[in-house]
Amino acid sequence: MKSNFIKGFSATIPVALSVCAYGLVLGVLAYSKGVTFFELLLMDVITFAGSAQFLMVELWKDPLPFTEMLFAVFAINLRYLLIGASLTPLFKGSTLFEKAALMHLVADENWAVTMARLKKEKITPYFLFGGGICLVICWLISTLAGHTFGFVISDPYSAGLDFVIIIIFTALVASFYDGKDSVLPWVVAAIFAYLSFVFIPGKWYIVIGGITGALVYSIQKNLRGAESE
Amino acid sequence: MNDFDMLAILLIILAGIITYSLRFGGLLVGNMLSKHKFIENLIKALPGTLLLSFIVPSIVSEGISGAISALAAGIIAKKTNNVLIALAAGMAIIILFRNFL
Repeated sequence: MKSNFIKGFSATIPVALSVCAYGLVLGVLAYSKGVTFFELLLMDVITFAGSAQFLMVELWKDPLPFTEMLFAVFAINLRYLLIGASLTPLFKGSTLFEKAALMHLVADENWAVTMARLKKEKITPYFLFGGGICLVICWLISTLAGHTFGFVISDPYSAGLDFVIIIIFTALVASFYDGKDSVLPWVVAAIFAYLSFVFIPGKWYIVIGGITGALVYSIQKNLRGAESE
Repeated sequence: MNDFDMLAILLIILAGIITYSLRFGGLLVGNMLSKHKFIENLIKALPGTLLLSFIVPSIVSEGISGAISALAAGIIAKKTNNVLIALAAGMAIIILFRNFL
């Protein structure tokens, strides 16, 4: 149990380093939008969701657009419903208390690292939790450092900071490639994600592309199962 | 503490409650759903398709350099099993394109 925590913590370090770059940018942005140090700290610990926090900071003004912000947070984080569902095999046999306690620190990054590892070996939810602790530490340090010393980074675009997360996720996607079975679902997911990105405001493209692609996979498996019977 | 501060803190707490409910709710619902074969396959495929959907618009928006960078990172990650090497290669390509080409 303890070793799973440490394994998860260390396996998440490379991703966490890139999250730091992301956090620095968020800190700089938060400072420029007038989010206080304490408010940013609260967000880091209570919400702990990168893209939602970016969005909140982006929308931050006086008076606060309460409803829009909360709905946007819901829409952006809707994928956590699916992320939570995809963690079902990992939590098989866990108590309800364990589930409730360990789920808070689930972010895209430690989830992806955990799912990739789960394909190769037997791990417990503490692997995921170790990754979460690693991320929350890096997240706090980097966002608050960005808030405090942000003025040093003059040109985040040239440094490619916004693309770090994309590259990391690309590398993780590659590890999920499952041969021929993945091709059609992935093509469908990519097309639907892009079309939704163009035509539907907000972050719905993640949920729409993800679900359609997964549906294709399921239907494909179903049809193949029917053939072999 | 003025009204803006109080509202800001309330907003942050509500955003946190929403996010946690989705995380925990997904796991609870997933537990009920995973008894069906079809749903089980669906959940199995989700990590890959969700992540892919996340990255596709950014890569397309970036253009040729985004595609080259992502392709390089993906292939390197698959071959070496090392995210950090893939990240270094992908970032080198992006930074090169944005600053020098």
